Amino acid sequence: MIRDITIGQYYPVDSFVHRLDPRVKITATAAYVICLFVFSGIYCYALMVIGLMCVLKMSRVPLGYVMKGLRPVLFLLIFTIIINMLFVSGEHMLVEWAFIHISLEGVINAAYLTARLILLIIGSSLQTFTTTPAQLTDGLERIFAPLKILRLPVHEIAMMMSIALRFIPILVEEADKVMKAQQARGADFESGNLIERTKSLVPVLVPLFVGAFRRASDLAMAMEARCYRGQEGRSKFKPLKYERRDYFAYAVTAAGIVLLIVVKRL
Amino acid sequence: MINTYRLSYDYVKTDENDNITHVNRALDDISIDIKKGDFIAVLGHNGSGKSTFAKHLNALLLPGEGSVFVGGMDTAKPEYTWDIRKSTGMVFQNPDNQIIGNIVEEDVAFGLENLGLPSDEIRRRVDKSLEMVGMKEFVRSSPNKLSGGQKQRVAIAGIMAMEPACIVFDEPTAMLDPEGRREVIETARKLNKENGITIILITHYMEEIVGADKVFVMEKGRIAMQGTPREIFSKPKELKELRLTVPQVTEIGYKISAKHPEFPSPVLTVEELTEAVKKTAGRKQR
Repeated sequence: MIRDITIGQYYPVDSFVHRLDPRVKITATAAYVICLFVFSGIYCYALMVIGLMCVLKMSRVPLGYVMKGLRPVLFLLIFTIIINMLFVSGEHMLVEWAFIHISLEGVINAAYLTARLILLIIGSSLQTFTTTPAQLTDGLERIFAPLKILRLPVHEIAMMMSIALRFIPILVEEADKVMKAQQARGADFESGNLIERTKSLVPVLVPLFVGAFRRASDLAMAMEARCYRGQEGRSKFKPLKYERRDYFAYAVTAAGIVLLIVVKRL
Repeated sequence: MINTYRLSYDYVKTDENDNITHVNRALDDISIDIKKGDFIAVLGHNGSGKSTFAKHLNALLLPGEGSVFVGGMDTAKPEYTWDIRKSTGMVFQNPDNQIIGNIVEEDVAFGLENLGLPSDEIRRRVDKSLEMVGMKEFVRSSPNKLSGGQKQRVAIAGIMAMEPACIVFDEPTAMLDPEGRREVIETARKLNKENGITIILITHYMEEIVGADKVFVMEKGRIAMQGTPREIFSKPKELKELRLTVPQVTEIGYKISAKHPEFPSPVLTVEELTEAVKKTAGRKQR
């Protein structure tokens, strides 16, 4: 079940988007997300959908694969739609029956929110589909490097992130093993209501945590044994360097934002 | 290459008020001398102190009493710590818990990045050391998709890339299947023979020590026996007292020699056994 989540997984193909510098992609994604919240109106959204589809096409990640990433949040989407339709009041009522009052404004609002959420998820997962975790953390490290002046441990945070990403599949596998071992001894994870099922997960989490700490201690030792001593004196295997395509991508992003502002003003 | 002089180490347990509740002597008065290019095996059952010993060899643990010298450098002196870790690499037991990178080549590069090498030198060394352990084709793979033996070979490549003089293997095969065990031990032997790397293999599998130049058997933090594998295997009774058994081949050899006193014992490998059987049988027929 956990394995099916496609959000945050790298999709290994070679494309223009894949080859872009991670800093460009992080900046563009951030800009896109901000735009989603700043701009509204049907034309702006149409523009943002078209933009996203173009990038998606260029990234050569299949649309179906991207859509699979929406599945875990489907519940959230439906919930948003229902809440918005039921509780947003407006002047133009569409349905008025018993306690159900659906207004036109509610429907429009729900549609916007859903579109916003879907675009948000697709946009940000496109980032992780096309960037390896290592590139991502490298990019973040470089982008946030100026914060070191504020004594923020930027390198350490980036290192923690990349290690966390490395250990996700291992911990998933371990959780699976622990659950199976407990099911073999009669544990029941499937029946009962939500609270009961959550409670039955406690005996899974405890060994998982203990195991994670043991792994962390082992890993720290292995890192020390390979001369890790923080950022000081450390070089990069693949240092990030801007190419011409990166400047081009920056330009396109900027042009997109300008276009959105123009459309909004019209 | 590596000398220890009267090395002792205690694991100390304390309660909340820092009072010592329990002292466990993990290493007790160990003095050994390992020469450059040696293949050393350290044998012992669980809790005999062999892993604690291994961690002293690259300054992950510092001696409680006595001293450890690696290439003439005292491990207790902090200014030597990084040079020591550079010259003595370590392969750990759990293959998953020592791989840091998300891609094989990134992991091999990790140590080199820590040494601050330029990027093209890293590239060269990564390719060379992956070639050495026979993992070249997996250079872009995710470590999660590899078998246990392959992961250990990646870990070995990561250490070889740092061009150490010595590699300590701390039970590298304990979590592997027979195929993975064979891969790892063969790689260790190859590095010893072809690259002249000093190997210290910590293990509890008797089969793995057969090719070693010298074997130390540990028990309760002390060195209980030492010698060549042949010398060690010729004392099966003492080994049994240390809760260790000789390999199956040697055992068979002993069973034969119990009935036929002229049968040469101990035998260490299958080839030796067949040879000895042929000889003894030939003599009988005449």
